[in-house]
Amino acid sequence: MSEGDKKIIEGCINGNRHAQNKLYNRYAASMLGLCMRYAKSKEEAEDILQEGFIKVFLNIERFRAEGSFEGWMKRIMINTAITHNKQNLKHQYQTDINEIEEIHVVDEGLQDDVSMVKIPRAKLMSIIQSLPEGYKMVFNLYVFEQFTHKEIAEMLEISINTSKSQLSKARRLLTTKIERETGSKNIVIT
Amino acid sequence: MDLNKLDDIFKEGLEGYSQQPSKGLWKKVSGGLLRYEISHFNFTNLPKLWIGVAAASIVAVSLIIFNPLTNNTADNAIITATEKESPGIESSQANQSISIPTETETDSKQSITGTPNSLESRKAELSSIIEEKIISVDPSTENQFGDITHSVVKPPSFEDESAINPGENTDKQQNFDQSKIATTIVAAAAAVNKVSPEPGKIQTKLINEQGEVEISEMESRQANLSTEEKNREVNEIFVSPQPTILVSSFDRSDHESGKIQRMHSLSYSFGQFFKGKYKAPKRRFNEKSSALYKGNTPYYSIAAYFSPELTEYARTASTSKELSYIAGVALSYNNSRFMVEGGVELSYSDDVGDYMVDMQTFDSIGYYNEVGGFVPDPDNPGSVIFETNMVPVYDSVQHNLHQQTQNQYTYLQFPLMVGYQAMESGIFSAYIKAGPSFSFLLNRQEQNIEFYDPDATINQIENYTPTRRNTSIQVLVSVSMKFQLSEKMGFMVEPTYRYYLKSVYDNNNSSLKNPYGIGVRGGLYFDL
Repeated sequence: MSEGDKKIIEGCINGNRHAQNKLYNRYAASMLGLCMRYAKSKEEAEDILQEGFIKVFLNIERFRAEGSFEGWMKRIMINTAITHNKQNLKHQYQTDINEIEEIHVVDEGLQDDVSMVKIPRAKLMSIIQSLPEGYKMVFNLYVFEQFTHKEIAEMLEISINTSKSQLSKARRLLTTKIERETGSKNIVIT
Repeated sequence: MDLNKLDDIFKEGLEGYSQQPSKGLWKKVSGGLLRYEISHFNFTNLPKLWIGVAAASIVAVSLIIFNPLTNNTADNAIITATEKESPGIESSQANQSISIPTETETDSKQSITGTPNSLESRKAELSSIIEEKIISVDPSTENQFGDITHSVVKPPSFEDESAINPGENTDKQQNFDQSKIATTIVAAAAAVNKVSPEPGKIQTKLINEQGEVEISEMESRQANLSTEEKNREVNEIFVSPQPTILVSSFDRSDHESGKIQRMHSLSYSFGQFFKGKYKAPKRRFNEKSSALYKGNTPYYSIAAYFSPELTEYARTASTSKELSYIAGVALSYNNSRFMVEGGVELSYSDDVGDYMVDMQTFDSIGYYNEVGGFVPDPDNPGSVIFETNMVPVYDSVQHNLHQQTQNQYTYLQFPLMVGYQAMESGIFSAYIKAGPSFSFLLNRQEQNIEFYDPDATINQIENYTPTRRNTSIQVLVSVSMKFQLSEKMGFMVEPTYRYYLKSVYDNNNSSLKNPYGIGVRGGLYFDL
């Protein structure tokens, strides 16, 4: 951790609003990217981000600088996202795949290679966001955060089998969506 | 599609994905923090150093400003602050020169204190001090007292030695400056005198505490009395041809000092702000508000405040500390830790007007003990008991009275300050500010003195009040401590120090210290 980061963190521990503002400016964009994967929309992601930053500032004195500060923040954001969505999880896990609305992915790339299709990252994000909450949670935690099913089950207070099932369904749904957009062509992410 | 490939597509595509949040999101975050901090506010959570500095500075400044002992503001027109004796007048020597029993000393003090407002009152006051004195007299000298009709008035300059060692005393009398001897009259209660064999001299017998009879001689002068005391049975009274007069602490200042003290003992209540327990405001926060903590975003803030300020004015003859009351509004531009503040203030300042009253009063300048009679002491053969009566002596005395009036000055002030946020912790923040302040005199109310004393003949009244300048420039330094009460407003406490770059008086005396003042601003601020 750089000296600058240490000073900022010290300022945040002392409740210095300017230091908090600096920390926010440094990490807000990347943390919003994380929150976007757990939310349906940017507005919801910002709600999670807001709540998460408040938790970060109120608990920053607990950070012991043994690991990455960004990793510590990410964990708080993920937990916040989980808490944020928990009240709807029960309903969301029961969402049928047929109820999911269609995502219209527009291929913006010029098809230089007929065997390749370009997908912007924002399109990928919107595909993730379109997943039912339960699928999205499990998929994010398993694929991006690399938690085990056991850990996911504990975090989401579901069974391990449910976690596996949700992941399987999420993958199937995503495959369908991707194939619908790209056919069997190779994907290039732009 | 291969599941691992699917995972990789998303991981590769969204790993490290970032997106700028909306502009107002920081306001929501800081607003949420503010809500939490206010609802969990506790003075013990604040930085102890700053709280200590704040509390100490507020208490110190308040004590300085509101301590009535340091406030020598004169009240309206006729307030006698000091009385300056005429040249040659020596005060309080009477008490110092007394070498007689305590009882008599007490009487002496009684006879020379108080205000000689009128002759009748003086007489009433002094006639009550009639005593019987028991004097031991050597039987061999008893016949010398046959023609005793009055007791002795002892010149103070003889002092103790005259009572203890009559021989030396006699020598000293001969060399003694008559002008000093003459009317420096003090109490010499237990005394017996007789007419000196030499014309114009009185031989005095004093009985000291050991019961020894002491004899002294002094020059006599015809009493220059112009009152009915002349008609009393007084053979001679020592009055100097040159009226060097001992007016012991008898002037008005004693009498007036109590009055002044009472007038200045107004108690000011301050520090009520912190008496009650702090309660978090029940305020609904508007998350779309643009006035939350701004972080590094520039913003404006407006404040309204009131400030009592104690200013020390150095003058040619004196230094006075006067209270000013300042009300003002200020607009500040805050950018990161720096701020620029401009304001308008109305200052209502007090100051004293100085007058010197040259007058003459008919004062008691001392007294003598008149012997009314004597009887043999039945318990102590060979001794007699004298009945004496204190008789005051009056003369015209010149006085120079320093009189003060209270003047009021109203100023329009424009402070312009820059500040730096020295610290911030939650809802508490502290700024150090400094800058110039420009003052313009709007109005002056200077009272003329109205001096009246029925017993005095006023010769002249001189006005020594210096003229105030119409403009002045000061340097202001302050520490502003802010407590955020809600998302938009808070209160501030700001000890200030004001240094005048020039004297406020229109004089050319560059040796005078420039005025300075300390005050405490208290007020509310609103973030725009």
